[in-house]
Amino acid sequence: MASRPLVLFLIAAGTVFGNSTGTFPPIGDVNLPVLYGLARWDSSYYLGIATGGYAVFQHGFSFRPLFPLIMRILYPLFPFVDVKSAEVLAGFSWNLVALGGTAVYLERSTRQLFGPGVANRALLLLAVFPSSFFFTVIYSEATYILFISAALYYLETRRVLVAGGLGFLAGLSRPEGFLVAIPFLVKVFFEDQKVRKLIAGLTVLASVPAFAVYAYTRTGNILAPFQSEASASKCTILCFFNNPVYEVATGVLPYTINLVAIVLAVIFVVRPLVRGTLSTKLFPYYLWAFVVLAVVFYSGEVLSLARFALVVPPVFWGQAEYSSTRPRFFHGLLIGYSIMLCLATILWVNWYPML
Amino acid sequence: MPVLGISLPSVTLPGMRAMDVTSLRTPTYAESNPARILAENNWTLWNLGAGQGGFTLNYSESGLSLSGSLPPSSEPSAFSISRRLSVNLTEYPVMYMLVDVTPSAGYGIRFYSSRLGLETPLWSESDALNHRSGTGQSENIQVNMLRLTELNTGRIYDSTSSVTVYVERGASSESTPFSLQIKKFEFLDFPLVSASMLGSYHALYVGLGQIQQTPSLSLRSVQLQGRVNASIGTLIVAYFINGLFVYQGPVYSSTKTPVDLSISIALTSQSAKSFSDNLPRESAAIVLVTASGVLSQLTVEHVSLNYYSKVVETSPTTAKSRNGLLNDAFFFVVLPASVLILLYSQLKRTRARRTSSDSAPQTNARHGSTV
Repeated sequence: MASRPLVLFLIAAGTVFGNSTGTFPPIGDVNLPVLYGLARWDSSYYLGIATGGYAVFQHGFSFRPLFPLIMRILYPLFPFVDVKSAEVLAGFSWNLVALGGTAVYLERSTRQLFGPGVANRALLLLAVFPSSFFFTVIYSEATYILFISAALYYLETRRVLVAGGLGFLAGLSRPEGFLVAIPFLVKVFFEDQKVRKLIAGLTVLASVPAFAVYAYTRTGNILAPFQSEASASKCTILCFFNNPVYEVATGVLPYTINLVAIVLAVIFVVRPLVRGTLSTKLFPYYLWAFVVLAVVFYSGEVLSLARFALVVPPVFWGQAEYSSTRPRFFHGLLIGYSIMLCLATILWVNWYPML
Repeated sequence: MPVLGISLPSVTLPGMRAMDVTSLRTPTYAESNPARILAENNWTLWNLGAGQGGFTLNYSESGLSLSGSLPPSSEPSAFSISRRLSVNLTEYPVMYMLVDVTPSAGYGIRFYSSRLGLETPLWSESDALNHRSGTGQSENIQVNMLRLTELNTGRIYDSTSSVTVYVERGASSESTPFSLQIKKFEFLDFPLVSASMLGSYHALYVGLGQIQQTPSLSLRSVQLQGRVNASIGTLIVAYFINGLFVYQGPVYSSTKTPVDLSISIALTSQSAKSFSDNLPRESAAIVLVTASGVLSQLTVEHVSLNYYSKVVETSPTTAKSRNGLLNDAFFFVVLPASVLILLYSQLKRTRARRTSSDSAPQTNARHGSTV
């Protein structure tokens, strides 16, 4: 939480002093002094869906409904500004609350799995991760990680069905949320409470058909969310490596921060999996992280890779555990991440494709 | 080198590319007719500008009349009237004014919004409501205020707090008599409704979602082919809207119904300063607006976007099929196989650990000790 004022300051500085590059900013600024930089890029989708529903956008069904729904519920609490500004204030306030909740749940579950030293380190790394500004701006990452952290905590404390319900909500927060069913289902092989874990895992998976049915009621097309995701224009890692010279030539720092963040994330998730050093308690989480990172690394937009890695707790567990006996590495990671966070926050405001 | 040639994808050189987006359009919707009207015809609320004399303001049933004479001056001179005006622009986004100004003078309309006690101008010198020339005839002014204010300020304002109407004249050595009449002052809302059936509509919208543009691929024109049913004598104006940019296309006159449409709108011309109706729900849309008469149905046969590409591109078909194969290989072979291998290894290790921990006490017992 203490890192948020810095993020907010950098966003404000980026918007107030930053020069637009011609095609940016991509959406009209809301009428909020200083804070208008919180709503950029895909924020327009969340804000539009919150008040106008999914009919407003061609690719709207790529976005899950929970965060817009929360903004829709909360924005009347800000009657002294216009609707769009109220939505931004509502989203910003909710994100702060969600981040606070995340810190509590993630600290508890990490403490349970690894002990207090790793828990503290993991939280510090999460706070300064290069893309952690997404927890503050009008994006669904804070909502998503709140439900993920809470689900993992309740799964570890044997309240499995509660965890399944929270996992279902995570599935309604982001498209890849349903994958959190993996630890539930894999734990069936290794641990007790097998039936409950199976039911909870299936509950998490149910978020996919639930949203598809909702899409059907709005469009008559049950495949609308998947078609919407498939048709959105994006540059994946394949596109990047198809023409790396062009990609590098068109930006000052094209995707550097994203690539550094995702490579570090992949190393610290894959390494213990391949070496076979994981306990049966940890293995399901790392396997889930592996699948998420593999999917987003292969099919996710390159400029969002760091954002995708941000909401996968095993990324931070792996780095925190490795650095528990290597203080210099930990300090280097903290400093490196902090510098990249500052740079990435400023770049995101007006120059996201360079991030 | 034919083998190498086969392995290379075909290449498209820089130039125009037509993209058929007929299947991407959203269901057609429309502005219902007539509009909901918020009449601001209480003329007594208008006040003369402070500190200026020699002008008269008359109120009557038929409108507001400002008359007087601008004195000789070596510099441009102006005189204004204003009133408080609280309008929710989200509810009534379109401003309509029927005004008549003598040809000797120019005029303009300026709106303000109040936020935290501060009066914020919603106008700019170059917008469609400022520095207009008087014509001596009644003029209909109809403007989407949400678009206008966002263009002027870069922000979204959903309410107004006051309005000022001014009369102006350039430097002149003679006094200039003038009159300005405001006959109607209203805010309109044309509710958007589905246009899947025959109806009575003021405008019809074909949504195209969000248009993708990159530095190497720029949209140059849009084309729509289809038929529109309209009352005889209807004047139809076609627009293409992309965000806040509005491009006007051809004007059709309905002498028979249905009218065959073949609309082509170039984006090379300057964006229109004002738009008279609701903005579309989507970021980009083709809109047919009636200047007079009523629209009843639109049948879209074909919509295409014409892009200009600045770079050489490999054949999308080849890339698509190649990516399709890669996708299949990744999602159906590589990823599941990796997960299964990892899962199997972990299960094997767990069993081995259990076996060794089970056998350890037995071994130790055999040697006469327990753990």
